[in-house]
Amino acid sequence: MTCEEVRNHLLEYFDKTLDAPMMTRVATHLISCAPCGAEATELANCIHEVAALPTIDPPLGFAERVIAHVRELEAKPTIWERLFSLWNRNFPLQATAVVLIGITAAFLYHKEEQLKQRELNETAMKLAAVESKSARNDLTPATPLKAEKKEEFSAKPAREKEIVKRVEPAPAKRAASLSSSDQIPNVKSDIEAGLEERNDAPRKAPIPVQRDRNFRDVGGFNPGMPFGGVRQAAPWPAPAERSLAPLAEPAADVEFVVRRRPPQRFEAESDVDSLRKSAETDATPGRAPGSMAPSAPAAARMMSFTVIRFYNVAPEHYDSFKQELAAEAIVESETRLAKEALPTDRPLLIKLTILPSASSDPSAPSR
Amino acid sequence: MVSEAISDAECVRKLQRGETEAFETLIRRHQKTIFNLVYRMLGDYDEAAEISQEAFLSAYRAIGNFRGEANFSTWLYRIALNHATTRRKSMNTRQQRNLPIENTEPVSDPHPGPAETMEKKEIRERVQQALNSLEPDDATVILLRDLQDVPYEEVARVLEIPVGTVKSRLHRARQALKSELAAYFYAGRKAV
Repeated sequence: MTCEEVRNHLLEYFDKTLDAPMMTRVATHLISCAPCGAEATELANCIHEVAALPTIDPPLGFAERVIAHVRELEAKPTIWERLFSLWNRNFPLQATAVVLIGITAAFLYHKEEQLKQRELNETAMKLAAVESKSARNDLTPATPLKAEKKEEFSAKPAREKEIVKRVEPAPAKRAASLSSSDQIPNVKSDIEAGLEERNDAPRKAPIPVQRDRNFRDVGGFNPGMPFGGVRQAAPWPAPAERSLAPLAEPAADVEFVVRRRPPQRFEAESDVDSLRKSAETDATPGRAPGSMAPSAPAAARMMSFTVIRFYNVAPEHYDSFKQELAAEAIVESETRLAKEALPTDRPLLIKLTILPSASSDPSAPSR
Repeated sequence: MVSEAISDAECVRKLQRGETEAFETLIRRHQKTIFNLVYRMLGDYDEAAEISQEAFLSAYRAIGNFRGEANFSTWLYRIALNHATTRRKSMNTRQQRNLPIENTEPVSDPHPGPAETMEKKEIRERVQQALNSLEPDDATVILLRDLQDVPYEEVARVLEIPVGTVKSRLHRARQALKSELAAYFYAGRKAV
């Protein structure tokens, strides 16, 4: 047996796991071979010294200390136990129910408020839409107003004949009769309804300037609507160049200077009476009679003012407009302000300066 | 208190069911083995007490993960050796490990003479110093096999290496220990 083989079997030799013949052969070699013998002796001494190390007792109370730590670990709640410790508390059932009912009630109340607010917003939007539609209908003649205008202008010859039959056609009478019998009640009821709706409806966002200008009555003050056949609001959106200067006077295409015809006594009286009647009939309780329609003295006073009005007239109705104007007032001058030919693609803006009648204006030339 | 007669496996099952008293049984049953193993790994009594306590507490915390595939003692050895190895490495970086052996070691001979007592004490110191100077893996395998007399198979399970590797590592560790002790044993001071 070689030394290498013996050294390879030393582990089993010390463990005594070799079979008997091998144990004998290894032992014989170790006795006969001095280096292998010394090596084996040294290793045996190491094993012996390690195994001979005494057993040390742990400190007194070691087990108790460890157990005490274990009890501390048990007593100390973990993070999850701390988080869920609230669930383990026994709240009184009634208190829990009250809290839950309170939370539910608050939630439902909040929800209801939101629904109410949404309904109000929807109503306000509808009202605003209706209001703007009615305003458009009142102030800007859309298709129905166009039709109305057409009808008026087409009916003009017959009416003209009727007026010619009279000695002096009375614009004041026509204005008064029209405003009192046909238009004022409608306008008044519309305005009242609009005011009521506006009072009931929540505040809406301010109207943009452009929109306001487009739908505004360019004539401003409306003294009894002397020329009732022609609506004076802008029927189409104003051209861009007219909207650029909000405070400037619109540049009219044609300017007329007319003078009111002096009303005859009986017509004036009947006009005044009809005005007063209509004002009293239309007066609503709580509102001063004649607050919407001008009173008779006021109407008479308005006749003595110089009024400047603007009209948007479709080019095809321009001649009819002129004819009606000539029938209802004395046309003193007609000036085409636009240098170019009259436009055909947009309504004509007509500036109408209405001078008081010759009887009330001392500076007027006598006719 | 749980009866000392019940096995480790039964104690573990009780402990897993929440009976903390079973753990006390396990501590009392294994405290000496674990403490000695840790003490020989570290060579310091107080450190050994602290690490042994940490090992038991770690075992308590992780007892839910113990599936009973190995012996509880094997599992506990592994935990203790992991703690001891970690501490040993940190101690090696802190100071050169040349710790004296405390006077807590009992003397096997009840009536030794003063010279014999001193000599035995010196030998133990030398052996402990040699163990401290070994690589932790080598020291571990020597302590498990030669000090604790743990079978090769269980050593293999503790260290999670094959049995053959345990044997080769043990042979290498013994050679290293012999080299460490050669200067003392075979430099003419003591002939064996």
